[in-house]
Amino acid sequence: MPSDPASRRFEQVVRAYANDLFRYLYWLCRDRALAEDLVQEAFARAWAAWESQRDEKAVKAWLFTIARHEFARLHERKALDVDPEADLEALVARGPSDPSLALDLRKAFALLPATYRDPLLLQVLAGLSSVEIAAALGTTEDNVNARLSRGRKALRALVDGEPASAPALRTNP
Amino acid sequence: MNCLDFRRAVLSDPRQADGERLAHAASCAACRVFAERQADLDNRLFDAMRVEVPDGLADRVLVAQGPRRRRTPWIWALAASVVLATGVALLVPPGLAGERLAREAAMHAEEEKESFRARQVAAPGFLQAVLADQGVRLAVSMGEVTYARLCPLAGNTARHIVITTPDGPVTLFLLPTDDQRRRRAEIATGGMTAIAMPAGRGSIAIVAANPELARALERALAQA
Repeated sequence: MPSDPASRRFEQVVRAYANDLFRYLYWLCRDRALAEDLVQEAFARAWAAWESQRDEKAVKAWLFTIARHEFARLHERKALDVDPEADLEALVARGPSDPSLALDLRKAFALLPATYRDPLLLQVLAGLSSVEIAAALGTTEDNVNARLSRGRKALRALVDGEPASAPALRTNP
Repeated sequence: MNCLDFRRAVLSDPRQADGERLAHAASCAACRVFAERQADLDNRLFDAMRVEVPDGLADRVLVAQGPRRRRTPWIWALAASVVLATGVALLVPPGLAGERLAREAAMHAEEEKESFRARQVAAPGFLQAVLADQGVRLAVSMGEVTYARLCPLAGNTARHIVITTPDGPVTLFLLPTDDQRRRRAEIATGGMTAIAMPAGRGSIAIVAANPELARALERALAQA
């Protein structure tokens, strides 16, 4: 067993976050093997900078930021061949709970442009706040909220086949 | 807050339920329906995002990092990966972490009072599916699910579920991605009893006005 506190804590963090980092990266690159490689790279970078990470509460947001940077670095090196339909059937067959509940949504989510998919993943999957997402994406909280809002509207339109319902609005407070 | 502000806020984060939003939802049926539909979509989205993870991923990460680690032989990391098969972050003592979750769960349930009035109809098999995802199952039926949405809780996205039983409502929070190692904790606060405990994956919190009802749900939850 690792004897020093830093190694022990690193191991605990790997066990706590590796799965969700994989899911996040999978949805960015749509390639399971590549997502696992990126998880490895992200943790290698995290370990290299481990001593600088002092805010224990922020470790999750920090890891997702590193993971996203790893994906972005790869994206800079080569244009990714992203096929939204790639291995979808195989993924659905391996779904976590009731695949029939999520099938259409998975297809729809995969079709969303990355600019909307990314903040939705960080909020819904990772549980990050708008402020943390803004820091991870290098943008403002307003921009994050706008992307989250547009992403959900687009998703609703894809799932329902029509724009999100908009019953009569009351504009007065 | 008007309808436009309400809907903009819901689309930005359906998990939040602050006082202004709750007040508007209580007075505007159309916006209430809008929020419920969005919360349902987010529930399904959470499921859709959680694709299967390759077996042994964390172990492979630790082994790969082994030779680079400064003071720890890699074989120790491998051994630790076996010993700590279900280990999670030790950021605070487990007992304190459990109590903190119980307290946050009780506060959240208290703040989201509409959860007790709601009469949503969950899809058949919904509760079994989300419990299986958490690595637990319900050994005996407690009642019907009348409220289900995703909420932010203790730094995680939690499933907030209300089960209406013959003895009253009991609230269940499922945190399948919780990273904290939480020892069982039970607290009484604001007329509610809250229990936090580790689950098959992540953590669970239970909140009920009747302490016996909270404990009954705890007993009914078994490892899957």
